[in-house]
Amino acid sequence: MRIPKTGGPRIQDPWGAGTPFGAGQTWPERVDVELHVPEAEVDRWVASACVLCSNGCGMDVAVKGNEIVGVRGRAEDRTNHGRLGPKGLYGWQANNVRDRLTRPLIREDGELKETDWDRAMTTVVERVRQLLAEGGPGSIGFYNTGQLFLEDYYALAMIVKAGIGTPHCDGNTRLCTATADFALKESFGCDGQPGSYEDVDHCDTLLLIGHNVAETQTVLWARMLDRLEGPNPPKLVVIDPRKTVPAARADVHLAPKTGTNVALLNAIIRELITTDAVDRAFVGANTVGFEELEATVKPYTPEHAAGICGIDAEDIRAAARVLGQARALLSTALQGVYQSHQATAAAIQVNNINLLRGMIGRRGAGILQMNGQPTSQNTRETGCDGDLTGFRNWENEAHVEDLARMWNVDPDQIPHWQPSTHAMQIFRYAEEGSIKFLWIIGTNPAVSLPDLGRIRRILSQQRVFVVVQDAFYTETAALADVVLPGAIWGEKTGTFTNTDRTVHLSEKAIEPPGQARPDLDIFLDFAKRMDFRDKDGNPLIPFADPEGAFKAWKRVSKGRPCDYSGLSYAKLRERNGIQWPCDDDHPEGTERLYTDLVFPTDPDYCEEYGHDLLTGATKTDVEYKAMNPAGRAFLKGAEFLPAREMPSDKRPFQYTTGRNVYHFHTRTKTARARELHDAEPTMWVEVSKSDAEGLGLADGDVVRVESERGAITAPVRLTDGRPGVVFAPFHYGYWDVDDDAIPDGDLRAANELTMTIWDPVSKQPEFKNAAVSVTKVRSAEVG
Amino acid sequence: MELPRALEHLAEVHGELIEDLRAVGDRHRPDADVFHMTHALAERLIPLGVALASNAERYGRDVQGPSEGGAWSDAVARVRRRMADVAGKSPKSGLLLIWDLRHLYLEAQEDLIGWTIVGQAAKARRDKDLRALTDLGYHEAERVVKWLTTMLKTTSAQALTSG
Repeated sequence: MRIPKTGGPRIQDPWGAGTPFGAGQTWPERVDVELHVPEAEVDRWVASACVLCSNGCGMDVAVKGNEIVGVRGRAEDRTNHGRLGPKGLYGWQANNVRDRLTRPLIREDGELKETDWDRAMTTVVERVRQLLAEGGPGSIGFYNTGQLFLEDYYALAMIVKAGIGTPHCDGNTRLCTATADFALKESFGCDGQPGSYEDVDHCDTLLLIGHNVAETQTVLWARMLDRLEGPNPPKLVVIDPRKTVPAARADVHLAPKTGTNVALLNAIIRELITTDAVDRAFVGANTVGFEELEATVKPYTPEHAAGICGIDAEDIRAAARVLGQARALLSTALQGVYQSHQATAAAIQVNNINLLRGMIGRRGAGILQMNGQPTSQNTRETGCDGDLTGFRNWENEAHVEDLARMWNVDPDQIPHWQPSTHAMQIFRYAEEGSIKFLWIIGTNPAVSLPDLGRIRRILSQQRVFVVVQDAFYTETAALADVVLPGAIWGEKTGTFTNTDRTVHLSEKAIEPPGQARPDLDIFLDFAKRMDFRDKDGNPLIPFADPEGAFKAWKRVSKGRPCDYSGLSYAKLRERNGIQWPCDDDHPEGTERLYTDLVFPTDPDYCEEYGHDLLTGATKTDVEYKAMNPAGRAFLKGAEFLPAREMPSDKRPFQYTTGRNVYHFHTRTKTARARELHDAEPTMWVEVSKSDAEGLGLADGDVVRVESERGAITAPVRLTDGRPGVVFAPFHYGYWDVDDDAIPDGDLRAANELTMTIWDPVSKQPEFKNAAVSVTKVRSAEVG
Repeated sequence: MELPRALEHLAEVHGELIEDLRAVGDRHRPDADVFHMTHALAERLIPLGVALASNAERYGRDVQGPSEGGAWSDAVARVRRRMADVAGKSPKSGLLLIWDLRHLYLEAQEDLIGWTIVGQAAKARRDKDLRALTDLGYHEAERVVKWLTTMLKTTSAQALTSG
């Protein structure tokens, strides 16, 4: 990563001043504040948490008049102990910018024109009614996000599953956290983060896989960094093809070729077995599948894996040695694992490492299958990602009936003849024209999905009616038929849940601009206009405000692993940041799961029956029961398969995409905060110094990077990274360089080049592999 | 002894499954998961076909191994893919997809039962090599059947009710 020479203290030091601490001590507080008026002029401080990554740092929002004027980290919050990262400190300024969407838009004569809410909603409702009559619920699709609040999602889930009854609903969580969800379900029977951020305070060994935490979750890295710089620091093992900031700090850094995680992790597991580092008593009592896993990893000697991964066999042994000697191992994984072709298979091997070593359910010993977005956990819990609401099992009739009873609808109304359609398939159905209505909420697929030329073509079709609900005029909004202006964080009340199950209440601080409305209000308005009814003819959705939605959700989540029944707005106002499950037995929440080593794998309780990891074929309840899990976790192995697209003579480089510390998603908010924008204002690509020689490239030269899908042009940065690898940040689209928000001239978005392909189990697209060529366009501008 | 004839038949069935996996994949390129998985599965089945041919040879049968492709079949594949890009824009393409997957499913079942039949004979002959091969073949054919079942379950409703 490149740190700019100017831009303010937190731009130049994204993690802030260190507060080193030792194992088992409390992470010291450090309150970060950014205030644009003198403190005395602040009218009020409003409780919230940050929504610019999955960490969910507790913060108070400073308000003056009807404007946000600053933020302050909450010292007492378990997530951050007062700290805020660069995005948290500066990102709120996006609430105040002039170029927000403030009125609904409707397409007339090919152009989007301002209209009023009644006309916009009437148009949407008429189109939905017409399609329901002509083609049924299967012609209607929803593509939502990891950015709404729990209450918004819950209303949306009811509309989709019980109101319209379409199986076509997914979140952009499919791009960021689907693999975490599926890996947890495969290993433990159900979604739910086993570990806790406090495991950082207690661990003696940290394993980061494909998780550039220093850029993706700065405050979590600050916590790790403070441990590394304190007394008795943990050993650090990093697996990442790039020389990231954590990699530079690591005791062992393995830099495998992209797309080879399974081979590498298999070799590490094999080493753990052959060096007798396996906790046999734990494995015998609490897992099933050891013999099969052992047989699967047997061929993966360090030498064999080293050949596949392009690394040194001794380094694999060294990593396994550190992991094998750990007494409290915390393992974390993110997109380097999740956005690869064997995503779920690799993420499961991370779970396996901890299970084999008995490193789960106690202090310092845990797993964080990271989330990417601030509220993606709620997308998963409510079922807006396609899961059945409340971590229920769509293949278990009793679960469907249970949900139908609470919603007072016929169980058959809730689509459960197949899993909900995943995002990439929703776009495929829109491409072939069998989905004719697509409602896109709080996400920007015209920049964030793979193969953007194809996505633009799909969204531009006359025959697909596109509704975009957003706060900003995005590249996707520019392709819509109706645009609905949404209120954002700070302008509405609701709860959301971070990576380690911490629930925060985020209060409304200011009024939304113009006619922008909270997402929940938009959904409730739609439901009312559609006149969705339950079995007795009463309105389907029995709540009218966020707190009502939260209360309804408490009832639906009760008894499930994500139990919110012991939470309330009142409780969260008293103590913001409580981890689920929170019920009568755990009124203060639950620090870490599985402390009793009973996993939610019981066939009547589990969230799914599992898949064949190579093909994604679903297993039946009969196959699942035959494994006799009885509360034990699953050890599941997978052989390594090469990626489908490999470098060739024509396209000799492996292309990978990722995040930058100063930006989030497609920069709809971060580019509207001056400090963040200025820190990284424009697109670039990274090429290794050793490749640069052969290509005749100097730092700053402009290059053309081309795949089978398209080409982008951007200045190059030379790095010490792995030869043969080209990296591009995925944040940059066109809204700030092109009036129409659709490209006219040179393309620059990273996803112009990525491939339409996904992991067979989690259906997460493979953003981290494409074969590309690199050619110099012109020299760096001198001056 | 009829085992050689059964081996010959299995090799034929197995070879057809490989070719049709590729053909169906190419014919549905816009369905990216179908395109990539059919080719991935075909690649997994090829070594089994090669081993099958050499086992058949032991029993005195000259059996053709799986087709390695060639200029002619590559050209056909290219045309199939290009046609698919056009046909894949129709809401009716889903119907074509389930028809083709259904056909593959029946072929995969024939492959599966073929491995079962030959496997039984291999056991009776105490032919350890052939038995190991049939165990592997059964397992892989079963994988193909299960994948196709899953695909048909997830695509049929849309193709038949919303196309």
